[in-house]
Amino acid sequence: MQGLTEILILPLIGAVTIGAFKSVAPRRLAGIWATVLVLASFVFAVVADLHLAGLTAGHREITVTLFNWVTGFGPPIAWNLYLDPLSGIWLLIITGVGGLIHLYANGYMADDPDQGRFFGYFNLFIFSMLLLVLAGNLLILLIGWGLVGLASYLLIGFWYQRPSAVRAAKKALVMNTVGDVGILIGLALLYVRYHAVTYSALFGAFSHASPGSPFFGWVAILLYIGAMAKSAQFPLSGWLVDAMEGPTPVSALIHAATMVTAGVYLMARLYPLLRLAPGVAYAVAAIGTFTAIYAASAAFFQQDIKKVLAYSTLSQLGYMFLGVGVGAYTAGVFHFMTHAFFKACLFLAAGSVIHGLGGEQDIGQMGGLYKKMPWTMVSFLAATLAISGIPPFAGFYSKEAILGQAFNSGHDLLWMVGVITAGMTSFYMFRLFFLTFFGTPRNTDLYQHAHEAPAVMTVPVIALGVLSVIGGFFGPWLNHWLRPAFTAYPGAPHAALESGPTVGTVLAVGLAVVAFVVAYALYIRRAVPARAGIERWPGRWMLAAYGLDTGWRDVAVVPLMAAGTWVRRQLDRGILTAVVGVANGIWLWAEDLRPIQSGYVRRYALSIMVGLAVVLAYSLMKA
Amino acid sequence: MQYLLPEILVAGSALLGLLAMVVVPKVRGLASWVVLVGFLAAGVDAATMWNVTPSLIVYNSMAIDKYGITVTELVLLAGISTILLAWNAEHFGEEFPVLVALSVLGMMGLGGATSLMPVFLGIELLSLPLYILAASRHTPEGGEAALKYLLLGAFSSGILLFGMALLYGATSTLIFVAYPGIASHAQVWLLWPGLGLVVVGIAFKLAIVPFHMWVPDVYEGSPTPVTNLMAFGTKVGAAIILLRILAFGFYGQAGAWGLLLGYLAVLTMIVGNLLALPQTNLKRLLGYSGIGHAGFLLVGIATHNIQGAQAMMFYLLPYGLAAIGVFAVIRLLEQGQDGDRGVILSDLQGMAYQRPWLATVLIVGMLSFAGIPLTGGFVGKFFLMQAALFANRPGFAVGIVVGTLVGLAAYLRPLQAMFQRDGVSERVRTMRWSAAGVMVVAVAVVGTIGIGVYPAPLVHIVSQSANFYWLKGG
Amino acid sequence: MFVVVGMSNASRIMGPQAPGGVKKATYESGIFPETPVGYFSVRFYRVAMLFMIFDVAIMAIYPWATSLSAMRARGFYDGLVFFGILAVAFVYVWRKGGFQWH
Repeated sequence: MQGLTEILILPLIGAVTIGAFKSVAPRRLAGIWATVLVLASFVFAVVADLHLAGLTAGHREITVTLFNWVTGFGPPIAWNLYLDPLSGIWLLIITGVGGLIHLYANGYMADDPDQGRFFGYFNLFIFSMLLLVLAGNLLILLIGWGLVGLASYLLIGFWYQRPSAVRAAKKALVMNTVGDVGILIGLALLYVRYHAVTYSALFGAFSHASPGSPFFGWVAILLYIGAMAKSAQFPLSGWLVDAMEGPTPVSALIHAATMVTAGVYLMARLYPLLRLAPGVAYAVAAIGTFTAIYAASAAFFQQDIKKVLAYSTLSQLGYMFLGVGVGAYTAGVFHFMTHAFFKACLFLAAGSVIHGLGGEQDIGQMGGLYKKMPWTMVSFLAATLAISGIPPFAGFYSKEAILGQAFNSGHDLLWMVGVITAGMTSFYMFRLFFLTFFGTPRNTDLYQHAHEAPAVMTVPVIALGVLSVIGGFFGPWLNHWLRPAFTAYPGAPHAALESGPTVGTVLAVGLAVVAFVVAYALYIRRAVPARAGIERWPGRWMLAAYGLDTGWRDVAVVPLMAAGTWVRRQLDRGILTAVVGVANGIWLWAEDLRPIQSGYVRRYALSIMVGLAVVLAYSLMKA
Repeated sequence: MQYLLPEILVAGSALLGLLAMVVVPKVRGLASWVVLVGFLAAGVDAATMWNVTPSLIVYNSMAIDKYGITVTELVLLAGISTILLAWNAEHFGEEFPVLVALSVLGMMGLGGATSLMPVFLGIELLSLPLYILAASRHTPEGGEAALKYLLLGAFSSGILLFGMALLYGATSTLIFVAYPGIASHAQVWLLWPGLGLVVVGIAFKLAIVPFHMWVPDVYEGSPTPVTNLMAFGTKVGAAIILLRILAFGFYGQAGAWGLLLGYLAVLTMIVGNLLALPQTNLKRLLGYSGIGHAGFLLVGIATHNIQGAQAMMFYLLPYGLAAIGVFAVIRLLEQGQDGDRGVILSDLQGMAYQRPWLATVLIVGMLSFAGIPLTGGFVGKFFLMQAALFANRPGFAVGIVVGTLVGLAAYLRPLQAMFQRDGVSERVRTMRWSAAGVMVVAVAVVGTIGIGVYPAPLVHIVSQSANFYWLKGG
Repeated sequence: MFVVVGMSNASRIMGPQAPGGVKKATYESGIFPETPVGYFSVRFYRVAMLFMIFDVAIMAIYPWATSLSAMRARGFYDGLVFFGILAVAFVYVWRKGGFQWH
């Protein structure tokens, strides 16, 4: 079995046992148990990957059929697990980074009375995500996909006492459901046409098809809608920012490192399909790039430490989609990996800050914290340098690979936007960094009580900080590792890492450095307050993310609400009874307009007679 | 003769139960035990006949095959769950188990029927005890339900009988398995109206729109265990006999009835689930949901392919398991304070926190009704959809999807009520567990999840039993 | 069917309709109606129904008896089973007091 089942089953055991015993077991035990299980799962993942590495390059995949799920009528569908180098990377990140975040959560949630529930959900999430990644066919992937959305819903709404958290959870679920439906329909189309849902069968069939058929276009668009919702691509992006209502470890694990990259995984997994739908591939890249610059500009004036990070996550996801869309699959995966390191580090460090300040998230209330929390500051700095693309930190290499290949493949415009976004990233990240850790403390009261987080929290942060520094050097290894996955089927001629033009590198790094200098000048030298610029036009507009939320409200929510209210009002007025009457049969007229209540037998008999007359008329017509 | 042993065991247990209650009136609940043992024995005996070579018996009017055996097991499950849900419920009258046994006997007869005679006998035998059972709670609502059911049932029986007479006139035989050879040169002006009348007569029992109106009133007024028997057992009996008559007896004329049934199925799925939406009484909601599910079952018949037959047979069990689970929950709630009042949605308030296990049963049942993955209902709907697509009838598939979506909203409402935090309803607080109830919900939950996660064994059974076309040779 | 429905409703639709006091009064062969005599007691129906049920059984027993020689032992035993079932029902009704007037 190569341990695939064990990888999957351990977090599930955790979720079930914690759920069952959370009221009787000691409160702290849940966190320890959950962490141990995820780390054990990590060990199994390493073993499985090592086993995978031992196979010959042409057959580097492991398939495990747990059991036949649906057999007998029509094409069989099995519970397949499938491990190849691509899912291997995701496994390591989910269980490895996930394990570190679990460890951190032990400290962060220590005071929460409900931590059993938290860790139960947390393990459920890990299980769902592993199921998604290890799925050997699209149906199992969809089940994992749905479960991930459910776990995310539960965790965003973890503090259900806050109305805003419940609202955010609902929003996330609704937007994700849009994506689920997209995948479901795409999957159904593929199933009806090919009578199969396994990757190998579908990709085998794709290999013989030629591009350009509208069928593939539709399927690819539907599946992309799923990826779009999960990875919060514009315009389905609003939920991710609201999702920050959940506890910070949730933001780090789900809404930065793993779940939101599921869309990237799906698109990379489906590269044989993208070959057949080049238009969709271009749309993936274009929408990704737009999301990147849109989110980066929205991050400029955010006041909440987690919201800045949320917009930066959106922006980085845009980069990953740019990479996948232009065919730079390895670069996209590379950026996913480094992003998991530095963004998890940033979120956890931000969590330490929030924890140290007793729950304060407004950067206008921070400042000067480097004295109080040196370890957090150093890790945060490493991750900030990484995300800003300063060499030799991790983000530089992966971002460079994506931009370089966008240039090489002739997407000049997308490349240009990407480079500008890199500079913007540097600006808003250093703005955040300076405002949080440097300058004079703006709220002396909070500052007095600030303290460094306990070791259980700082250790994961530092570990991730180190990974943010060295993560970029994994590039050549990753390139080698992923080659079998992207050469198995036609469709990824440029999957391997390439280096772009030197001028591009210089431009991107130069912009980042300039942005750093500008941020330094503004926020350290001139000590501009955090709220500067948000009163007037561009700032206020950017703070509200260009009114995307309001837009959604006007386009979708308000009309639906209005329709619902209208129906409700009609219902109160009794017209619904008439509508139901129509449904029950328009012959129910006169005295009693409420056929839902106990009605008259003669009417029921009349209904039967009318039905009988129709059936008889039909059969006589046929005869 | 030994092939009819399951039927004889059930009939014998009914008679024995009747005798027991007058000979030893002091021993309470003896009849329940007798009937329960009879059901279990019949189930075991039917299972041992699984590998018997299919054959026709009783002058070609009954068949012994896997189809009939599967039906027998299904209706016995319905009967056993009904007996268990009414365990120790003396106010239903001591004849309760005997009547249940007789009704189940009628359903079993339908499973093997290959002639119109046992079809009619089976339908009457399953209905007559139900008319009495519907009133066994001695409340005005129960009386109303029983009277309505009786009047309309008699009405539909008349239609059915008239249809059978026309079919006999057209073909000169009651043995409908012989029709494939005759139907093509029979007098069509007798044949088609006859078939139409028979379909309507059975559709009444199956609760197909527009023959469905009795369902919510009768479900609401009847005692919960009886509703359980109606929702599961009656539906099994009616659906499988409709399948056998149409898919076998009128095999060659599928063009004439397939599309008609399809229209009815789509209408039923959508109307049933739509009307389930505004319901506040849980049993009425289940009544409309039962109508909707009858529509799903009808899709399997209307597709007229082997996948459809298999899918319909498959769907019966997840539907039935979810139904008995939910009815068991209602029954347990009724064992709390003021038991005679119907359970309404606000009675579920706070159940998820106060009674998590009971809430779990309801969640599993409702999700299975709604067709959420990893429950049996999902797999069943999946097969039906597949059958519709294989039959090249995308319209049916669209109907299934629309019906499911509408139904989803209806089934989520009880769950929403259950998760409400402000306070716990009196009913939830005072409900009491009973051993028999626990048994029923355990089977329901384990079965529903089991079929959802690992449907292969059931699929194996069903694909063998739906293969009743062996009759063509005999 | 249309003919049947049509004819049964035609008179109602086409016929003259002039309900009046005299027309609606009960007609008792020239004798003026007095107060209603009341309903039969429900016990009467019970006994009548029980009589019907067991009486109908005769319909099956008579042909069985006349053709016993042709059906041989098998037919005889089948008939006994029928009797047995009938007897159980009889015992049940008897012990439940179904034959008592009060």
